This record gives sequence, C-alpha cells and structure tokens, in this order.
Amino acid sequence: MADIRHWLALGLIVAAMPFFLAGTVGLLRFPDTLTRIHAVTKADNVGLGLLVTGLILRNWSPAAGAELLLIWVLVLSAGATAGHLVGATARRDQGRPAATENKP
Amino acid sequence: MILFADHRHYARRLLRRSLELAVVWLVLTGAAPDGLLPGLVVVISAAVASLLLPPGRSWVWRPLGLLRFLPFFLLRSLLAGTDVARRAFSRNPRLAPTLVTFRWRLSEGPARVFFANTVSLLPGTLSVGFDREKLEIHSLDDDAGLEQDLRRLETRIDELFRQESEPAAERPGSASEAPPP
Repeated sequence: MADIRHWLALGLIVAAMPFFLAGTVGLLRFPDTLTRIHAVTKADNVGLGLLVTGLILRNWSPAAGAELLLIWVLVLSAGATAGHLVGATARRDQGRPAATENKP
Repeated sequence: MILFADHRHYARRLLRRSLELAVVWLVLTGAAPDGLLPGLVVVISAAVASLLLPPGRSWVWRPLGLLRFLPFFLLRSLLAGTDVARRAFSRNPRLAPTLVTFRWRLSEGPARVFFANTVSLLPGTLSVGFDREKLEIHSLDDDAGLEQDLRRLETRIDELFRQESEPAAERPGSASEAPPP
C-alpha cells in the first residue's frame, strides 16, 4: 500500500513539472500582457495543485497535509488577485500599445 | 463614551483577526519553537494592516455548496491548465482574445470577489475589471458557450454563499442609482 502511494506521489510530482514549464513558456510566447497572465495563473495553479497532492501522498501526515493545502490555497488566492490587478492595469493601458505589445 | 465603545470594538476585531492569523502561522511553520517570536510580530502587524482596510462583510461557506463547488472547480481548473499548456507548446497557439462583459446577478460582497478570482483560474477566462454592475472578462477565444459557462459558475458560487434570507436573483445596489418613484 505504501508502495503504491509512493509511486502515485512520484507520478503526480513529475506530472506537475510540464505545467510549470508551460506557464513560463506561455509567458514568453504569448503576444500581450493579458494573454500572458492567462498562461501563468492557470498553469501554475494546476502545477502547484499536482505537486501539493503528490507531496501530501508522500509525507502522509495530517500536519504536513494541512500545511501544504494551506500553501496551495494561499498561492491560489494571491495568484488570482495579482493576476486581476495586473490584468486591470493592462486593460487600462490598452490605448497605449507601448505598454502591452511585445517588442521582439 | 462613544470613543470608548469604538476602541473596545476595535480591540475585539484585532484579537479575533490575530487569532485567525496565528492559526495560519502555526500551520505554515509547523509550530516550530524558534518561529514563535517572529510569528508574534508578523501576526500582529498583519492583523493591524488588515484592519486598516474597510471591513468586508462576514460570510460562511455552505457545506453542501462547497461539496458541489470543489469537484467542479478542481476539474475545470485542471482543464484550464491543460488548455493553456497545450497552447503554450503548440506551434500556432491560435489566440483570439476578446473582452466580454458579464452583468452581476450575485449579490454584492464576498461572493463577487470570489467569482472574479475563480474566473481567472478557469479555462480561457481572466477577470480584468470590476464595478458595481459588471465584471469585465478577457477571454482567449471568442467562444459562443462562454456566457453559459459563466452562468453555471455563478450558480455554483451562489449555492456556496447564499443565505436563505437573501435570494441572489435580486438586483443588488439599485438603491443609490435608481431611487423608487
């Protein structure tokens, strides 16, 4: 049983990595500020969610579980709030293309 | 006299907020003994800082609503991450960004903030503006089913926050803009 849990945890942690990578790739490749925020907030949310689930399975104690879940919830709310603030600012600046357009 | 009552009110809120934040600190540090003193400083400063903001409305999540919301949210945010990852790695991400206006049906207060934050974590949508009547949403596609998706999310969040006494279908905030004839 502990063996299955261990491998499941490993799978989840490995599965989390492409999402973190995707967030960064999206941040670099997407054309403007607003689309970039999409990439970072959503991909990191899933990446961290998978990572946290994997780590909970690995450590398997109520204290560590509560700590990891709390971290996930805090990062989620901070990420969504920061995303909204950056998005709202970018939206206001849309009339001024220099602020949002990607310079090659 | 009034001043005195105000102070007592403030002290009670400060104590309450500090206790809530202390729990967060203890969980995050695993109650490590050498983290207790810095924790005291951080917790009290954070509590004072949070009381400088205008007080929000207090709220509770309804357990049944949470039970329905959680799987919905987890599944949809997994989709959101996969969708955005697929676009990030694809040769042609095919973005057709649009701005959508979403008129509030949720009652004013925490439910709306929660909705705006949740929207940003769901597939293809990001909330970028907020006022009393509407939420501005930036979408990665000009998808026709978007409005329907958003209304479904609204129903879920309404179930999460609703109190029996105040139905959310009622248009909030109309008192100041449109006084009754």
